[in-house]
Amino acid sequence: MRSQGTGDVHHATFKRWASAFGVSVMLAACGGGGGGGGGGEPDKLPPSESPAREQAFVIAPGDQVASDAHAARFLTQATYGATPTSIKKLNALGYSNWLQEQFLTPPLDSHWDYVARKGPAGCTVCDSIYINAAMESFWLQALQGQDQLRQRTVLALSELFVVSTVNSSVSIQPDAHAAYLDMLGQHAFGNFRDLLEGVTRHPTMAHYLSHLRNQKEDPITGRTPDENYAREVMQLFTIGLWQLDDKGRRLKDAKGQDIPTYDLADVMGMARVMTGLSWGGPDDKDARWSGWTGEPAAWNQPLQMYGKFHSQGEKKFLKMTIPARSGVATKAQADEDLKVALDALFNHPNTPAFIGKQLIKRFVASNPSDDYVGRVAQAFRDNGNGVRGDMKAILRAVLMDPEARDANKISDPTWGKLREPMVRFANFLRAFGAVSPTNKYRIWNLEDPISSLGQNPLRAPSVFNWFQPEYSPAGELGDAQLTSPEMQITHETTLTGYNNFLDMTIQRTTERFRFGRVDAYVVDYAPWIAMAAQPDKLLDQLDTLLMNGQLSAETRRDVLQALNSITRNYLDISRDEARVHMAIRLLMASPEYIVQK
Amino acid sequence: MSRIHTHADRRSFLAHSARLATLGASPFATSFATNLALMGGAMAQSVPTGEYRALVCVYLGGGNDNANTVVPVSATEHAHYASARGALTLSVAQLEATRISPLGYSGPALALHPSLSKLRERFNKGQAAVVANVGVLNRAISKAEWNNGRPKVDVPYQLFSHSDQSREWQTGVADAQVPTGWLGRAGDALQALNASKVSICMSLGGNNAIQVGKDVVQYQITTKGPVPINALASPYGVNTPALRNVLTSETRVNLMERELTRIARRAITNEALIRDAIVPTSTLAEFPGGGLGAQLRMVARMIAAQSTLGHARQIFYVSHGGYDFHADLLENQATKLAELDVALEQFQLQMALLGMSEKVTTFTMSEFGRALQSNGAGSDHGWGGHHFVLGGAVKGQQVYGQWPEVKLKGPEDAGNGRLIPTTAVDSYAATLATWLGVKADALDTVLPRLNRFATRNLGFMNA
Repeated sequence: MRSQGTGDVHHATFKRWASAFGVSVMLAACGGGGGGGGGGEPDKLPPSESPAREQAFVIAPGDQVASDAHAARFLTQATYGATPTSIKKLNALGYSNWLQEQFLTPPLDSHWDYVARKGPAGCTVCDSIYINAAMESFWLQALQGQDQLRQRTVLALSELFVVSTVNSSVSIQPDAHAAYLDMLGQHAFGNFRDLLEGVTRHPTMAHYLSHLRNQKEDPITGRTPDENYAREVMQLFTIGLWQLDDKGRRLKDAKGQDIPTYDLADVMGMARVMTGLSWGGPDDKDARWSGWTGEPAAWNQPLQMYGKFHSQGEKKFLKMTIPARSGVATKAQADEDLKVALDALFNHPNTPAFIGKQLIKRFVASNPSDDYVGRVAQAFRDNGNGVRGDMKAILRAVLMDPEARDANKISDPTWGKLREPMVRFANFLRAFGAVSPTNKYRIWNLEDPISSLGQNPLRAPSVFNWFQPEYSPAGELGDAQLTSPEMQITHETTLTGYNNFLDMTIQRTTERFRFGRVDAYVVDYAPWIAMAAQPDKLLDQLDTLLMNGQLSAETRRDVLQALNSITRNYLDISRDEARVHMAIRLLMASPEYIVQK
Repeated sequence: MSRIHTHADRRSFLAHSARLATLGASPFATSFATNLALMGGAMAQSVPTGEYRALVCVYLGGGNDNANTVVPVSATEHAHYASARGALTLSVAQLEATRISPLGYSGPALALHPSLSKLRERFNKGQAAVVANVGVLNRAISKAEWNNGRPKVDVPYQLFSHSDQSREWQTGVADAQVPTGWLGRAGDALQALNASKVSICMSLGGNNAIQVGKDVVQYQITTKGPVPINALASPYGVNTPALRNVLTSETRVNLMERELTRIARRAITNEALIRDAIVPTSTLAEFPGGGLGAQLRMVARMIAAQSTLGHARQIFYVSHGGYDFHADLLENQATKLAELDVALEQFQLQMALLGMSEKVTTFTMSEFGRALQSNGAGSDHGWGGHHFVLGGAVKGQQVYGQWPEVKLKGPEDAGNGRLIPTTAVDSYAATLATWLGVKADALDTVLPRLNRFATRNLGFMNA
């Protein structure tokens, strides 16, 4: 049904695993004092005789989760938010086993299939259409996927390799965006080189950055190749603008100036490489090049090279030269040019730190130390077995770095990152067990900054994402030379919008507001209502789940006072439910929630 | 299939825009003005309107294609243009209706993009000007110097990059990274004229670099005006003192948390101040021009409230994104510029009704122009671009700066028809800042590289 190169291999592996071990794939730990979890070993099938039960796990020393709050903190970084169940599971597995299990957990569905069947697997009323189908599928996997690390990695990658429905030639095609999300998910735990190939050859990206049907230069009309992808693949997707050292710091020339990684000539050389790509398919006839085959658009197939349209001119970039050739390019020559260029970007000395630092910013903290960046970059360069670009090793390095796990960082005034608005919403829905009986998560329209979140999946304003990794707000943070990317979309309007969104959401995401809608997703506050007679206890539990135990004494005092002031039942809701609403409302508005530390 | 949908959407949008454009001043405009007059009469005037001035920066995000925005239509020049543009060419016939008649100008005959019909009328009536080939520069350079290449020629780093040229346009400093922007620094210089707790710098286009001052903090207004944090405005359901303290407590240590509390304090304070000063939304119909129209509509409301707000000076930033047309340029730029045209026109009508035409100047910026050379269906990142200045204080119907030769390998061609700017952003900005009231001795603080350029004032503004 769908074929996307190496992705299918992964997918097949997952399916084999899933069928062999049931819904929850469990691993035997390598434990027993042997070695203690070196990074980067290839996936090993668990010994089949080993019973897949949690008790069977041996957690290596130093890999234990110290407390529920520690577990929640890790899950805030690595997933769409902690749940009581996910905290228990992480405690039982320890960090390394948890990661290993996540690396082997399949997605619950493919976005492509969701869009094709117009609804979730098993839908009886299959009515998910237009771009909303892709958004629903996004939310279904984000909220309900057991492969939470993959889901968060897809989000991180989607903010690095941005495609969008805004100001875009792919604004209304759900299959385009579904296929793109699937591609990111398939490479999330693969190799960065394959990911780069997948992004470059993806028709959705090629529409968005206009390298689909990009043609070689024409000496008669003077037409030059489109430089769009050539520029952004360097500036945003791999090496960045400035030469970096192994820890991501800018190198300086003899005069102490920053050194650019490339100039316009490099962009123009790279643009010649990025010619000749168009739709994948069984032939490379002009009709397919033009997209006039009469077949449905092949959004889930990698683009192929059409030699006829590929430049044979000399291609100079990044101190390399692909010599000019005569005659019309063959497909093999065109593929080779692309391979040379993508290899150069993959092997460029900047790429490990440039990508590594951004991944740290997406998962853990906005201002990692140089050494932390250096360690992640080293994992990119070599997974321990001589493999460059192993995403599992990179992600493990990001999440398991001593700095990421160090609880002392919580009290460092410069530490942390803002949870981005749509992740806050996902945190909420997961924490309180939101379910939709039909598995349709019809969440759209989060984009209005006045009444909603000012952010919606698939709708970044440009290839520069909602925020840029080096954004540094004026004032105290800027003065301290600190970045806070998510602050770029945080201001008076969006702060107000978020607060008003909380008012609407906390109460109206309940069964009482279903109003007969079979598809409505509703949360379940029952376990929390049961605790609310003792506000102290309720607050302790919510503190762990939402705030990783980081609730300040002052906020705690404020919230407790507010909870204790609710002393009677209301017409529509009980005292205790009102307390739960109040507690969530205040906690999720608090700066110590919004800043994950 | 999907493409057909897109086209249909655009067609219907264009038709809609055209209908709106033909309506001219809508009935609501009169009632809006009447309302404002009534409100103005009812309130104490803390700042005399006679002294008032405002700048409105319209940022065209993505790099507007200059070559199809102002186009030569004389036979020879159009032929040069067309030979480089190929499939991107606007024909002389297409440009016939939007020809402009600049005064005191000896270059080739010019026309605006066909979508800019209202702007063209404003130009020909003397209420708008074109500033040609403006861009970021460290110092004026010739083509010969450019051809020597770096490091012999001193040009801004990371030319042709969106994020960098955007930052350079906005900070007004192209050869270093500085934390403030030139409108923010102008705000620093002028805010003492205001008797208001609401910032002199207001944005509807999100956080930006241009309005960051040393002292001035930009305030983000919503397109719907003063929107309160409902839970603080109406205590139902939420314990107000607790929420207020959670949002605003000054005892926090983490720097990001502290920043969030500052934003919350500004949101709460400003909303209350503006709510008391501004005319209700109900008196104001929608502006055409999509999101840009909504932003400019709110700007109009803030301008109408300047007196009650205590603002003798206001500096606004609105943004209109999506101009990065590497492909489908002809169709997409036509749509974008049509939005721009109707939104600007409605705004100018509003200013006239408020009696603010001479007091409010609107100008465009964009990170770069684009290459003249076609890449097939679009154009690639360039450098210098053409910009518009509108309002009653503009010495209109003129082309300022130096009109470039629109041809490949021309005297301003940095390669593929990317224009080497002949007017620095610094001079463009200084002209606007001076009109707003920045004194000569403060101008070099607002634009610290201005002294590197021959022109401190391009002369497009009345005193």
